Amino acid sequence: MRMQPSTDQRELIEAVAGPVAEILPLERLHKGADGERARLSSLAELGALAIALGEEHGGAGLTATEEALLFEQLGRQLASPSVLASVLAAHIAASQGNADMAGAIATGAEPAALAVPSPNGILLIDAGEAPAHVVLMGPDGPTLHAGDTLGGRKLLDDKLWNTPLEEAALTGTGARGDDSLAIRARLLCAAQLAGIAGTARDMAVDYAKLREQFGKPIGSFQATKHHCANMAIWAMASADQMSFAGVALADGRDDAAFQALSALSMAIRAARTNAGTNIQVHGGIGFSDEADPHMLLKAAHLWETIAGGEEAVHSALLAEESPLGGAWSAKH
Amino acid sequence: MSAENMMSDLEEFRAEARAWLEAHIPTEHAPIDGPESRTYALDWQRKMGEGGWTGLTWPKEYGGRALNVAKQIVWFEEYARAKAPSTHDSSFVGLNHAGPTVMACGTEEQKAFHLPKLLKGEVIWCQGFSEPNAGSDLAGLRTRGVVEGDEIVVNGTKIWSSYADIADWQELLIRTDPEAQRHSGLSWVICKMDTPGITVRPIKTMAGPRKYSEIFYDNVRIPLSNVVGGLHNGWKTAMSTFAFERGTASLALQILLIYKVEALLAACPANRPVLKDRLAGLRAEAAAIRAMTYRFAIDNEHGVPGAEGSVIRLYFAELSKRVTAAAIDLFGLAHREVLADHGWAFDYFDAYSETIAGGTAEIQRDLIGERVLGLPRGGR
Repeated sequence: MRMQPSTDQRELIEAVAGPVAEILPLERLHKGADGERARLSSLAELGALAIALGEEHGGAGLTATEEALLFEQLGRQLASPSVLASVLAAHIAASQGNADMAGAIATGAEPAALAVPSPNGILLIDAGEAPAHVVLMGPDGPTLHAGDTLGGRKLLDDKLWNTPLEEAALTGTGARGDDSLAIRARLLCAAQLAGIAGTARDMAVDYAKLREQFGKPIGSFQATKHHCANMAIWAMASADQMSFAGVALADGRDDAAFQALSALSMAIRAARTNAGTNIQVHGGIGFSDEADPHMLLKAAHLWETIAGGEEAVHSALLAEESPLGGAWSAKH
Repeated sequence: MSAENMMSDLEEFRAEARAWLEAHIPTEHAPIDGPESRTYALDWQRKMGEGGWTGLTWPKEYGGRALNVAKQIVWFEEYARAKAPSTHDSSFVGLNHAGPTVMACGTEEQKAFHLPKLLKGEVIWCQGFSEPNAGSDLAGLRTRGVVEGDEIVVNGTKIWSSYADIADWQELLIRTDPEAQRHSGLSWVICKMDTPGITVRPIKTMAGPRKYSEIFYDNVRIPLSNVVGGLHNGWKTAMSTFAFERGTASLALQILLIYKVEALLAACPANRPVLKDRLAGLRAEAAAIRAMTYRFAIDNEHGVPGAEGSVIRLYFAELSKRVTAAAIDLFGLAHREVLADHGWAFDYFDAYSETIAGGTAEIQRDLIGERVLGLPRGGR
């Protein structure tokens, strides 16, 4: 059993972290979410949409481990849910044997949008004009729908959560990917959320070193230092569990679903907690619209919603077998 | 070795470990304290030594097997699965603090004399760091050691020393240079516990056992050759002791937490959905502790573990408290699973020591802030 990603795998993703951050600087989000589609093309050029797609579909043929580590970097830069939609759409198209479609999605030529079920149909997120495909994150895993089956689009809001949210309807049932796609979708959501938790930690620590009160950096005071330490715990716990789950899925282990759901549970809590603490460490400026911290909090909630919510994740986790075998039914 | 061969080699090792544990696990629970607990711990250690299951990652010249950390992890997974005796027993300080510290900082004579005895289950070690007036402020310790010829004469008091009443040896931190300030001027010495002038007073804990002790030193003479890591250089030596404690020492306990959560889930009735949701969250956290431990153990396979160990140590400590508290809520306080020797009440009460011993949660947070995140040092 492999226990964590190899040094090579980590170094590969660290090498693309810089380019990803250049394509997706956080400042872009202060100008509204416009232009995300152009950025999707830039990410496609980098190969970010096809990292784990087979070479026959123009992908790099790497594993779920590298893919998850890449999504952690995308999460750090608050990438649009359309990136996940495109990656999942390409996987579904590939598993259906539709090489042309998979290729067109992975190059950014056919953009996909992400949606979650809602009482009135679907909640469509940052879809832009006429997406070619829609990926619906249903409770049993993602399904792929043609963009022209989308109707009744009505903008609910594009300010409060820092991204356009629309009510819409889909006709038809959509296509499913292979059996592991639901696990992959959860893993990548966990990675995105772990990335948010990591950015929140770094943002708070940087500010705590810079901001002075009582004549000293606030990070020298235990009250602030301990907030930062707590953020380090959440960030490390969620990132390590996420990469562990990535290895489990890449190796086709029986406990991959368990590990991915555990990663999601951890990452949901880590992102929400760290994003909130980061606002607190920043004080007044953290509460302002012009600073970055609020965007992390809003993204944390958005991605928790995409992942199905903590309660649903916990219910699914309880349905899984223990990874180490049920040798213990009682302590005595 | 190819990745596939490595994995099948690991699974073969797992099967061997599982079979050995199933055949040799003691049928009796460990006595909670006193001379019986010493006999039990040493017997078990000796039995593991005979089977070749001690010092898995230790060098061969000191009786170890020089295996990689992945095998160490697999051994601890099987160890936890088999409900083997807690590794947090009276062997813990010797195997996880003193042994690694002597290995990292000791002289060849010290290594050759002490390390094989530890693996063979011949000796128990205890710690002598904290004092009544030096807890979190360890560098403020006052127990004096005066160099007289080839001996150090020690006077003072130590406290919170686990299993000191049944130990043969002690890792003792003393002030040998009274002129030097705080961290400088300390020495880490090996103290033989039957040396004249030592008085041990056991202290009963809130969990029941007389696990800790207060120790009084009245002109205790220790050979100068028992200094580890150099005279007046004890702070540096002690920091490597802590790094081992905060690093990989508790692997088995961390993996054990997974099984504890599983036992609670198995016992949780369907009509308690709120508790079920809470246990689901704990299940994910126990899984994460395992993932963190693996990553850290693999990254720190060689040398003294890094400061990130404090993150795992602290997370484990706080999670232990929450898991055992959930057990009390699940069973109620009078259930046999709670009341039994080594039952949930014992674990729950004992978990309160986790955020105090080996550096309080507050000190750990300071360390994480300063050494992992690079925040400026400030007032304590």
